[in-house]
Amino acid sequence: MLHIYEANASPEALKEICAGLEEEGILYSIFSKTSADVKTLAFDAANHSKLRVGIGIAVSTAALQIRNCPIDKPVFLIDSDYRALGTNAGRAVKGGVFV
Amino acid sequence: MKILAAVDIGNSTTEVCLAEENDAGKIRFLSSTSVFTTGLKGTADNTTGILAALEEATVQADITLNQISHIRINEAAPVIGGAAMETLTQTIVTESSMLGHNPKTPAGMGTGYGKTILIENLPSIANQESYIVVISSETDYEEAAKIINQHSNIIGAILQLDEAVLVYNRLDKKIPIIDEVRDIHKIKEGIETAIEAAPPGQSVGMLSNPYGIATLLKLTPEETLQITPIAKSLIGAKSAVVMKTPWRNLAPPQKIGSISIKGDKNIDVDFSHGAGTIAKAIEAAGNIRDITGEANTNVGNMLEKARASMTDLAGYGENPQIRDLFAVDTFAPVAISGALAGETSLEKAIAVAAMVTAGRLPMEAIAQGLSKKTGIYTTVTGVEPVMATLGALTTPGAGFPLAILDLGGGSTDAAIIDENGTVKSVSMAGAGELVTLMIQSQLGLASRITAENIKKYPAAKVESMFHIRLENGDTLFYEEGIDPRFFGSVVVLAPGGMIKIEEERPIEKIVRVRQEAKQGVFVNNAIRAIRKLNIQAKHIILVGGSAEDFEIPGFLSTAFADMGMVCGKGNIRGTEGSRNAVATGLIMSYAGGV
Repeated sequence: MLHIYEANASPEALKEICAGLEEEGILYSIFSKTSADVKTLAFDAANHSKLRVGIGIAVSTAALQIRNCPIDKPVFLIDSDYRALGTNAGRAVKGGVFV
Repeated sequence: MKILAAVDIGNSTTEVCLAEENDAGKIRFLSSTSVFTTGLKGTADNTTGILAALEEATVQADITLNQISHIRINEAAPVIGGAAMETLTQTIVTESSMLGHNPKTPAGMGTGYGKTILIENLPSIANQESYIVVISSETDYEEAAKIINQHSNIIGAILQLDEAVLVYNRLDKKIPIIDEVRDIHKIKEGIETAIEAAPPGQSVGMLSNPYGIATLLKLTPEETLQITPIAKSLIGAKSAVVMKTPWRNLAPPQKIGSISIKGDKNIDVDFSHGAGTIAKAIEAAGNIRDITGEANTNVGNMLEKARASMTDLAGYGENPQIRDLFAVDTFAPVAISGALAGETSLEKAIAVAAMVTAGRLPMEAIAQGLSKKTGIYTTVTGVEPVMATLGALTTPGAGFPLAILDLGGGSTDAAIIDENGTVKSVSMAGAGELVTLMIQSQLGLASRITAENIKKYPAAKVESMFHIRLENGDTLFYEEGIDPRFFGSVVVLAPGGMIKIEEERPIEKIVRVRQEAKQGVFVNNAIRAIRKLNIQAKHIILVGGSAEDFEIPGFLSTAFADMGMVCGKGNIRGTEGSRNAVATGLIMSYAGGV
């Protein structure tokens, strides 16, 4: 299960990220958090996710993180093209090339 | 005491070595260097590179340039090679009638037959017609799934976006779905169409079989014959669509053509007989004066291309004569005209390398220029293969009769020296450039530089942010993390770091194509060259750039060991590896009074 930690996430961003994950065939669960720091959200999500990949969303900013990567350097940090972030999270799990 | 400098100008590197001769005539080597050749070999531009190499060598030897009393420049062999390739077959599919590819995330499985219809034109009242629905990027996955669920007579779907799984997950009745179809607007409505999506781990079985297509689309024997190229190009695809449009087949195959070899014997040979027959004809012709291709055929065009590339490079005369030719059977993925998702088809191809010999290169002018610049006495001396064999003889363990193989970019050169110091040499077409060309075409790479990188460096797959798996199965860890843009990609390990292969090709295929190209060109050509020398060699020493390759020496050692010969990468003076053979030979020949 891939973890998504969200804080006041924009519904549109969340939906698109989930669509990207679903197309890649990755199961996920969404947890609501209070922290507003997107990098911390993503870092914690990656550390708690069995798939070693996590996504953080704070309002309309989203980050993709892989376990053991430094907290201040998420693999992706975006505020548009959310579908691609979901797709890339799936690719990160499967070992595919990022879009 | 005298200090000597020897200079060898090659196509890619300029090599220098310094030696001192004491009053008793004893030679001691001081230093050696290698720099990139500046300008085309044999032109005045080379001087810059020579000076840089001399400078470096003097610093290494802890002397100054003006202590050098004599510079000897090698008389380079004026051999130029060129390579070209032509595909021999072609697949044309008319009227956008097929589609077959490997989307990353396909959905559904099975086959179906129906008429194409745009999703916005589906009738609101149910009818008896079976439909394959065509969905452009205008309709999102939720909307598309809703509409399909309202129409029980839809038996398949074609999507423009990468949303097959998203649609599939929302369907009540599961159907095969094909997505990532770029040119979806080219699909016409009302066409009888067959669709197939393969089960996981398999490829389409029905639509890659001419009789399978015939069954689904109810074809006549005549139509089945015409559909064959489509079926062939769908072999290996994970999903496919074939539409029953009037298949206006196919351009008549272009004439491959023949070549005329003028040599001790004049021989004409038809290229359609393949590389093996051509090689036999080339060998049977003996000493070749020229080779011409039949005009307006594949072969004629190809030889003209090769000849033109050599004329440009050489700048001698307008029509150099081809002295040797080496052909390899190969294949190339070629874009199918009329396909909808950038499909390619593997076509038969033939690659050739040709070689011309030019007049004497203007080395004297370079020597005079160098002499003027440095004030040092400079001479042009020594025939390249003789110097290379003399240099190679300094390899520990080497003995007579000794042959050298210089595997270059354009040509493969061989020479043999016996106990009496008699040297015989040959130059053959086909070397590194031909290998690059084959790698580029077989993997369908956009850039020659990518092919060059694949040729030179081992490949690896980036498996996580922290490790890569090398082609031999080893893993390499990166404490600091790997740049995300490499993630999941195949890379090559260049000395400066990883280089990503932009085209997504399986690493196994990259390795196989690379090794087969090297075996096909270098091993076959090395054996051909040694045979042409016509003297039984005991030792074969590899010199020059390709001897530094990470796998070619192994291939050659194996091949020649099977033939009872010792073959390996040289180790000039026991210290220089396969480099510096010619420069070392120049010093040796001075000492020997040659």
